[in-house]
Amino acid sequence: MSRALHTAATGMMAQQQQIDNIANNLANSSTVGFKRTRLEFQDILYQNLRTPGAASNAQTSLPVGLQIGLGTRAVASERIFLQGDFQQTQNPLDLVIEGSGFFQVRLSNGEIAYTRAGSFHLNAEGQIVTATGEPLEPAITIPREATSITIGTDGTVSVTMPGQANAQTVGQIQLATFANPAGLESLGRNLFRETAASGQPTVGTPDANGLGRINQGFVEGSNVNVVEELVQMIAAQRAYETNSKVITAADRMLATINQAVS
Amino acid sequence: MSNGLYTAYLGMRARQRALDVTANNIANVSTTAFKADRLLYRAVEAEVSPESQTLGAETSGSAQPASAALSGDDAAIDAERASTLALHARRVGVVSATATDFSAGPIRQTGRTLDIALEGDGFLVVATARGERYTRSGSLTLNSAGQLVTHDGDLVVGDAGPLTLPPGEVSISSDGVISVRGSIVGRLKLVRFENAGRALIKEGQALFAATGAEQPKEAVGTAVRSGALEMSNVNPVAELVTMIQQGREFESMQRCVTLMMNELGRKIVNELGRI
Repeated sequence: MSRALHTAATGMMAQQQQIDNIANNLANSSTVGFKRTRLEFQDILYQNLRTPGAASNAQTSLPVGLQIGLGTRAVASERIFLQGDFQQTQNPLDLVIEGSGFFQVRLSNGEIAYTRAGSFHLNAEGQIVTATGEPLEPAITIPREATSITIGTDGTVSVTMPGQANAQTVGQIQLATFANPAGLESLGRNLFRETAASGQPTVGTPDANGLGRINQGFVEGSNVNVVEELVQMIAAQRAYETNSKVITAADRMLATINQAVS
Repeated sequence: MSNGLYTAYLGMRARQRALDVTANNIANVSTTAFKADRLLYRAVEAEVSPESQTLGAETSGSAQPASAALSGDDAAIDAERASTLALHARRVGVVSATATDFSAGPIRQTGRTLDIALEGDGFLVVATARGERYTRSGSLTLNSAGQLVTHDGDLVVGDAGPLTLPPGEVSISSDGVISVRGSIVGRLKLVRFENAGRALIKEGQALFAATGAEQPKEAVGTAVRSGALEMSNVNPVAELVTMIQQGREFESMQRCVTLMMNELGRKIVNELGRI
C-alpha cells in the first residue's frame, strides 16, 4: 500500500524539480550567453514479485511476470549548448562566438573559468574584464589613449592610437573547447568550470580547428525558448496534480481498510 | 466463509498492486521513452483436481473472484450442481501479473543533435557493468573521453564497439550513421525483438535486460531521428480512469468483507446457535 503513496511522492518531487528548472530558465530568458537546462527523468528500480520465465509447474513457465516500479527521479540537468540569438549592440567590447568555444576568464582565486557571455568592459587599469570584473585570459590591456578597438574574427585585438595611421596589435583572444561541454559545472554569473566529466580544455585561436569565429559588436542572447518553457510548465503542473490524485486514491484505500476494521 | 474472506482479501491485494502500477505509470509521465505497465488479473485455484482443470482453462484470465457461487441455495442443489460448486469453491481468487506496453510514445523536437528518437520497434544497445542492456531513451551525451554515453555514463554500443566523437559539428543520419564534420565515426547498433514483452524485463534507469527467451536481431525497419526525443507512452487520462475503477472495486470488496464478518457471522452465531 505504502508503495503507491511513495511512488506518487517521487512523481510529485520530480515535477517540482521540473518547475524549479523551468523557473530558472524563464528567469534567465534575458541573460546574455545563458544556456538553458533540461531535466532528464528515469524510472527507479523495479520490485520483481514474480519473474517472467520462472517455472509455474514442471511443464509450464510464467509468460509474464509481476514487476512493480517504484517511481521516477531526475538524473541529469542537461545543459543545452545551442546557439542563442545574436543581438547587435555596436559596442566594441561585445563579442559573440559563432560556433563552439568558450572565452576564458581568471577568477579572483586564480582558477580559470569559461563563459559564452561576451559582454566585456574595461577596468580601471584598462584590462578587458567581464561585467563582474574577472579579467579575460590571456590578459589584454587597452592603452588609455586608444581611440578605437578592433577585434578580428580570429581574436586579434588591435587599437588605433591618436596620431598614428596604422592600428597596433595589443593582444590575442583564445577560446577553449571541451569534449563534453554538457559536463561543465555552472558557477552562476554565466561562468562554467571544467570537471572530470567535461574533460580537459583544448585552447586555440578562434576560427581554426573547429573553434568558432569571433564577431565584434554583438552579444549572444539567452537560448531559452519562452513558449516551449511555458508549455513544459503546464505539462509539469498537470502531472503534479495527477500524482496528487494517486495519493488521494491510496489514502482512500487505507481509509477503507480502517473503516472495515472499526 | 473463511474461504470467501480470503478471496476478498486476494481481490483487495490485487487492486492495491494495481494502484502501485498505476502510481508508477503516472510518476513516469515525464520520463523519456518510458513504457507503461499494465496489470493483468488471473484467477487462481487452491488445488488442481481432474474436473477443475478443464473448467480452469476456460475461465482463467477472469478478473472476478469466484466466491459468488457460494451464495447458491443449498437445499436445491442436486449432485451435479454440487460438483460444479465444489469447482468454484476451489477457485479462491485472483493474482496479478504485469505486462509492459511497448507502443511508441509521442516524439518531441528538442533541436539537440545528441537527442535521438527511434521510429520503429528497435532498441539502442548499452554496455553496462552488468552486461548489455537495451534502451529506447535516446537522450545521449559524451563523457570526458568524447565517447557516446547515457546519462548514467554507460557506453552506447556501435556496430564496432564504443563510439568516440571528436569535437565538432555532429550529425546522425536516419540509419544511425554518426558523422562529425563530414567524416563518418561509426553507426549506432540497433536491435529488435519479435516478442519484446517476453524477451525483455525492466531494470529501471530506462534500461531493459534480456530474459534470454529470444536473441536480439538487427532492427531493420527502425529509423533514427536526431534532434528529437520519444516521450513517455503513459496516457494520464486512461491511468486516472483505471485508478478510479481500482478504488471502487477495492471498496466493493471491502463491503464483501464487512458483510461476511457482520451479517453472515451474526446469523451463524445467533441462528445456528439456537438449533
